[in-house]
Amino acid sequence: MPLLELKNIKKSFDSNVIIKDLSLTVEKGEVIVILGPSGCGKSTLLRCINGLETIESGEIFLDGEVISNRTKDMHLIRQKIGMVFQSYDLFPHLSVMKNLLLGPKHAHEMNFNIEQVQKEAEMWLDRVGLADKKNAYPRQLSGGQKQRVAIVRMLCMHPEVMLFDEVTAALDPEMVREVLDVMMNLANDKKTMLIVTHQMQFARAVADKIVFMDAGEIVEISTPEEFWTNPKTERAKKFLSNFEFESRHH
Amino acid sequence: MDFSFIKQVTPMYKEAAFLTLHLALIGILLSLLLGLACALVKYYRIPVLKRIVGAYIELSRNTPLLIQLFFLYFAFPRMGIKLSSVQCAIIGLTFLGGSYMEETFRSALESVSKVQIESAQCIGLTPRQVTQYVILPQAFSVSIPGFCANVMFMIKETSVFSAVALADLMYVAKDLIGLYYKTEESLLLLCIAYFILLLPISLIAGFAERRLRYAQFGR
Amino acid sequence: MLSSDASVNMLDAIREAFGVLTMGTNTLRLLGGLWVTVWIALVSVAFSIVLGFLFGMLMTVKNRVVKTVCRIYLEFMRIMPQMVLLFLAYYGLTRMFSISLSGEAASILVFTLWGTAEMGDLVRGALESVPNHQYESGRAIGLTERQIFFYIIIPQTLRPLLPLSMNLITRMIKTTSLVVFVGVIEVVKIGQQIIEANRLTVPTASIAVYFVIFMMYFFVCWILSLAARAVERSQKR
Repeated sequence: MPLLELKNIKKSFDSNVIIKDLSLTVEKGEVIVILGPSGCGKSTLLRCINGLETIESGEIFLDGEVISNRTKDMHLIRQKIGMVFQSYDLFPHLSVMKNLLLGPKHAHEMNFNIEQVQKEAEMWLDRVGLADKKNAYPRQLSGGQKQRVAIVRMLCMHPEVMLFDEVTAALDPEMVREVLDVMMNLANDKKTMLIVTHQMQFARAVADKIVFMDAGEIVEISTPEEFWTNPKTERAKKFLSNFEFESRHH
Repeated sequence: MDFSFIKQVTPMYKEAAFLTLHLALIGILLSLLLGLACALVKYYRIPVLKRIVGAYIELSRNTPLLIQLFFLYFAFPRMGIKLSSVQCAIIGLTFLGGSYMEETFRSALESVSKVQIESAQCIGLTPRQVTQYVILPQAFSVSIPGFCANVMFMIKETSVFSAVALADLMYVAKDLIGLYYKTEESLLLLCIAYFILLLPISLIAGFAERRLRYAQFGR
Repeated sequence: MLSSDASVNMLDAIREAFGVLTMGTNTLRLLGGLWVTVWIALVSVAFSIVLGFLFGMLMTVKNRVVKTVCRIYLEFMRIMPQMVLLFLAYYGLTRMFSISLSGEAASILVFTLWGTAEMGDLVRGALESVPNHQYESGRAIGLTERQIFFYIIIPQTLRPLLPLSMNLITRMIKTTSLVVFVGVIEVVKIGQQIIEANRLTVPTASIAVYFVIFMMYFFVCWILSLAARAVERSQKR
């Protein structure tokens, strides 16, 4: 049974239909990269999966359980589906370590052993190269450092599925690589990830599957190799041509 | 400048200042509670209550304290509700201050960005936990400069209490001018009294605002 | 505080009180009194806007002495309650400098000084919030400093100032309620005259009179604040 399943999802804002009739399955340990032009609904899709947006029709299943449009206990679902945003919102009034421990400390349903979580958090901080920052405050960190902390904060909740919404889009170019390296590490650890990004070379290297979206629907699903060397649809070809330039010099 | 006169009447000013401060503090405390309750009602859009709060805020912000006091002190007795000067002063000040506090707290609550709230939701916190551990702490520090400004405003507003026959600073000054014609001395002491009451708060407010800016932007 | 058969008495009292308003020219006189307050506020605001603009520009001057003097003036006007300032102008000027000002004149003087300080601070804030690269863009297309100031900077400062000034007007109208303490015959004074004149015939007159005064201030200020909000909203678009 797939870990995450979306069946015939429809989502509109007022009169604009953002997502029309979308279906997708995600297996455990799969890394899926979602590509597409701006405004095609990629971010909205991620936000529907963890309940930040409600859907008009269709259903979303996690481990066979319906999680879409829940009115109660949505926080239990969000303990299992983690998300990292473009704006890496760390809580400014808490130190890095307190940021990391806030979720586990209050998730009584998951019975975390706080000492264990703390050791784990320190191990993760070390792995992402921020071991010395555990008592620092967010205002003292650079964008790339904050984003890495945001990713660790999500990891401390041991989510089953990880959602990444254009997490490097707001970073200076020099800091993008350090964040992508962390995500590559997670992929190698066989975590289940849904990534929305514009980093093409990274997408090609990290993905098990490429899902190409346009105007609210899935146009093409292929392996990275197929997608770049031999796209099946016209729209995919058009999208990829945006990133290629003919040199002035011959 | 008659310094012996100044020495003679300083105790009167001191007593009046204490009275002013005493009433102001009660008013500030009550309006803080009232304002906080109203702000939460408006922030969470609680039906029915939010309309009542809205009407209260419009009434309170668009009428001068003096008129509110006159109404309480002169009109209420005719309706059978007799209030003492002190009661009028505290009720009036709380009524007025509550709406100013509401504005401060509500804008502080709204300053916590939607993404912050979503980030908190995404690590699995319940709505109550999100409010308690993420929204309120941040709103608290944001509200401090506005709160200090309200405190200053309310202490200044107490200068109308002489209208309801309270022996506050204005009353003492006017009395002394009328009785002894020592205008310069009386007015000087009056200014000094208010300076002593208000300057410290003005400085604290400025200090708090700079600390807040540092905490948010690290500069 | 509240007697047991109060509710019936209260309604009677209220009904009786409102009768006062229909008598003679009472309501008209009250409106006249309100006009006195509003007029004082409008004149003061007019002066404050003009002088405030100049004061605001003065505050952005690079000279440290000028800046400090301006700051002291601003803080003094901000810290002192308006009542105290009224007393200083009305009693202080009379006895100390033999300048005898009428209640109205003293009020206008005080509110203008106060309004200029507040307005000046708003103008200074608006001037300082214009980003530096506006000046740089002006220079880059070859304008002189004076041209930049008049054609680029000033128009940008005017936009946020409109709703802020309306907010100041509303505050000023509320504060003019204090002029009753310096002998100006305004709405409260007239109200008290009406109550006194009808002390024996309509003893509960104060209910209606003060209620009407309350509502008058409310409507004037409320409409102004609604207008200010409408202006703000139209600017956001």
